[in-house]
Formats: sequence, structure tokens, C-alpha cells
Amino acid sequence: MDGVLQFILNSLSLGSVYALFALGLIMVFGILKLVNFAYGELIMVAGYTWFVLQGTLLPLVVVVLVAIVVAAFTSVVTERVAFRPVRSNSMNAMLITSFAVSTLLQNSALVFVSPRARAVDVPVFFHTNINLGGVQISVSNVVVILVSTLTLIGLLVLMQKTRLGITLRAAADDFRMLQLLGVRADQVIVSAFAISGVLAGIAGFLWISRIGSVSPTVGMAPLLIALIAIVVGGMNSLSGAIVGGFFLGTLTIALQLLLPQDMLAFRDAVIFAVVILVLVFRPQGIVKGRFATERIG
Amino acid sequence: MSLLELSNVHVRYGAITALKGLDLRVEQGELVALVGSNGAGKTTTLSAIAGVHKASTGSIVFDGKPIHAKRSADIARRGIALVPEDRGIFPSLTIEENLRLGSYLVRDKKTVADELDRVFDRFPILKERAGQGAGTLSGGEQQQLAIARALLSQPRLLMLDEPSLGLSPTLVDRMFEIIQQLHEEGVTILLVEQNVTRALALANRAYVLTTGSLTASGTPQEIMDSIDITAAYLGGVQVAGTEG
Ligand SMILES: Nc1ncnc2c1ncn2[C@@H]1O[C@H](COP(=O)(O)OP(=O)(O)O)[C@@H](O)[C@H]1O
Ligand SMILES: [Mg+2]
Repeated sequence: MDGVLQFILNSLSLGSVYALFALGLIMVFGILKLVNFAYGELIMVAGYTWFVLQGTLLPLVVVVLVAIVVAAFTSVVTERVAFRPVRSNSMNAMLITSFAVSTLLQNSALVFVSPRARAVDVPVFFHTNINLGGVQISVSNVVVILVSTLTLIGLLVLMQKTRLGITLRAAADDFRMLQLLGVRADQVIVSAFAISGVLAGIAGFLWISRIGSVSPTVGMAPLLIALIAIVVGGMNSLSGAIVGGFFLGTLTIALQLLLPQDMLAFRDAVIFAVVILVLVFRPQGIVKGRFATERIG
Repeated sequence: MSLLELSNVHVRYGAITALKGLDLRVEQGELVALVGSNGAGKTTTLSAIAGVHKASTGSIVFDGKPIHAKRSADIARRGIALVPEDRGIFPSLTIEENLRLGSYLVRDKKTVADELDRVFDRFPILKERAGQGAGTLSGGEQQQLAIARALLSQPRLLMLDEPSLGLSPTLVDRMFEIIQQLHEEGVTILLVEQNVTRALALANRAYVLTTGSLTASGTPQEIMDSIDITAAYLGGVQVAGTEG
């Protein structure tokens, strides 16, 4: 029984971080049909903000909030400086731009900080356990699940109830029509990048507190995870990203548990095989979704 | 001064020139019909006015100011609303949310609420189903939603692209009734139709477009009189109201 609960908590914890990764990526994809390869670097930027600020006496909560703001700001700046000028060009131009931005940010970290990973001070209590009705639960799992749940609820309210959310959903449906109603494209796109950056910041904090360090390439795994999650979950809706994230998280934890010790090295290969299998039967991903598939700049 | 004036407008799609020097004007309060067969360039004309597809030469002046270089959002902000051929419903939004986006530009909350009431009176089905997903609506209901949404922006010029397309005969009658009503209430309308007879019956003036150029223009009577001459050019257009 203990094992089952442990498995559920671990899956929820990893899955919810993956879901946030995927949501941040799909925010921009839904509107521009662009896979933003620089998304992982927003997580990196959040991580370095944490690293730089940990020497100060600021409490962790403040450090994290600043890191989120810096990630969102970076996201908005990349949109303004790099993506907006090439938006009317081909999709390839956008993709190459996103590679360029990704490389540029990684290299900046390499030059200005260090090519090597730098440790962040994860609070000690993250690694302690609390006793809940006889079951040992790690504090870090509780923090991750709590923060991601709050973030998911916040995002849900934003997307469903606010004018901005309605506008963003409409843009994913039919961006051209939205502009015909007087909504300026730049405003919508910059909002999507900002939200994507906030999600990257929050998920980045959770991810980096898990691995305990930040390096120039720290964003590459989250980008890959987010990409696989939205492909397997379904690229045409926000719920697809969430489902894909939890699916991947649960699968990862399950394999960790089930695979024999000498097979663990092949865990990712098995994950890819399962993902391919899912796509064979559901080419559109688990959730079908409704977003328009063609791109309108 | 005309509310809208197009002079020598050319529009190209790659090698194809879809509009070859179009001159067209709409006066305040008028209902102007733009008719012509499939592929004549009617949709292209509305796209050029709305800024969806830019004119390569020529000028489009709205309310005395050139708009041909403006983005579609800014053209909408000046008071031009387009109900496109495909209706442009946001299927993953509810009907109410679709309508809310129609009044995106209207700042005054009271005006928004009043206009919404008027739209609900005009299209009761939309009120009944306000909370439903817009993707679940039938073709006729989607057309009503599209027009309702356009009206909520309180446009100074309403452009309708084949509003009767794909509707059952009863709904077609209803649609033309609505258009007539709107016109009588003072809305300036540019109506694109393949249903020439029905469109001419409502219009103050009309233009006949044939493969990118005008072949006739004037009052409905003048168009009717010249229809023998233009019949050859009209090609696929059936002048009698017999289309299926
Ligand atoms: N996006 C496009 N790309 C290339 N050609 C187009 C495009 N849209 C329309 N056309 C061409 O332009 C001409 C006019 O089309 P359109 O304005 O849609 O006519 P109508 O609305 O009168 O049926 C047609 O020959 C059509 O094939
Ligand atoms: Mg057309």
C-alpha cells in the first residue's frame, strides 16, 4: 500500500512538472505554430537568476519570484527582438531563429558564468520526509505538487475567465479572424510569450531544485520532455499538453520501478518506444483538440 | 465624400492577378451589392478592404483616410467589420465568448450590455445557447453568430461575404430579411452575393465583377437592363433565383 501511494505521489510530482514544461511550450505553439527551441533556455535563465541571487539575503520565495519574472522578461524580449522581425517570413525562418536564440543564450551562460554546472542552495527541508498517517512523504514532492496545482489552477482561470484568456484561445482557433475583430497580433503574441516565460520560470524552479544545479545546457532536457509531451498528448489543445506531461511523468516513474537494474540505462529508449507506439494508434496524440493546424502570421 | 472608395485596386496572388483595377464606392447608409460568378474576385475585394490581403496598387480610402497600407486589426478599429465566407467562428469558444470578442473594441460596459441585448433579441437562438460551444452550431446558426459578432463591434461599414451560402431556402429568406432590416436601421452594408436576384432586390446600387474587372455598375434597374449584355460575362451566375 505504501509503495502504491509512493508511486502515485512520485508520478504526480514528476508529471506535474512535465505538464508545466509542456504548457509553456504549447502556449506559443498554439498561436504561432512555432516550436520555440529557445524555451529550455528560459528555464536556464530562471536557474541562473536563482544561482546569482542565492548569495544575497533574500528569502527563497522572493528569489523564486524574481527568477520567474526574469524568465518571463527574457521570453518577451526574445519575441520582440528576434521573432517579431521574422514573423512574416517562412516557418523555417522562425525555427532557425529559435535555434539561434537558444544557442545565443546558452553561449552567454557559458561565457559569463561557467561551462560547468553550478550548485544552487536547495533548502535542506526539501529533502526531509513528513509523516502523513504512517506514510513517509518527501517534502519536495509536496512542494512540487502544491506549486504545480496552484499554477495549473491559475492558468485555467486565466484562460477560461479573463478577456486575455479568451483572446488567446481564439487566436489558437483562428488568428486571422481575431485580427479582423480589431485585436492586434503583437499584443496577443507577446502575452503568449510572457505566459510561456512564467511557466518556464515556475517549472524551472521545480526542476532545478530537483537536480540541485544549473548549467548552460540545463534547459535541453526540459525542452525535449515538453516537445515529446505535447506530441504524445496532442498538439492542438492545452489539455493535450497536460495529459502528455502526466503520461510521460508516470511512464518514467513506472519504468524506474519496473525495469531491472541493468536495464535502467535504457529507460529513455523504452519511453521513446512507448511514445511511438501511442502515436501509431493515435497519430494526433491522446487528446484530439481543436486548434487550427495551419499557421497564420 | 464617400464612406469607402476604392480606386484602381489591383490584388495579386503570386502570378494570378485576382483584381485588375477595381473602382468601387460605398456611401454612408447605402446597401451596395457586389455580385459575380465563382472566382470573379469578390472575396478578394473584401479581403483587400479588410487588410487581410494587401492591394499591390491602387488606393482604398475609408472616411477620407487611406487604409490600404494598414493592418487588419487597425482597419477593424476604424469601423470596418467583415463577416468572412467561412464565417470565422471560434469553435473552441462558447457562443457568448465569441460575442464578447465582437465587442472587444467597445470600451463602455453599458454599451456592450445594451448591444448584446439587442443582438439577443434579433437572434434568440444565440441567447438560448449562449453557454454552448460555438463548434456545435449548425451552418445557419454559425452565420447568425458571425453577423451578431460583427454587429457588436458597432461597425460603420458591415461587409458580408455570401451570407446565404450553404443555408436552406427558409434560412436564406431569413438571412435576406435580416440584411434588409439592418439596412433600414441605418447600417451601411457591402454585400457580396452569388444570388444576384436576391441581392439586387435589396441593394441601392450594385457592381458586377467578372474575373477581376467590373462589367456593370449602377442601380439594380440599370444592372437588370444591362444584364443581357453582361450575361455572357456572368458565366456561372444564374440571374433567376433558381440556384440550388
Ligand atoms: N489565396 C489565394 N491564392 C491564390 N489564388 C487565389 C487565392 N484566393 C483566391 N485566389 C484566386 O483569385 C481569384 C478570385 O478569387 P475570389 O476572390 O475568392 O473569388 P470569389 O469570391 O468571387 O469567388 C480566383 O481565380 C481564385 O482562384
Ligand atoms: Mg468568394
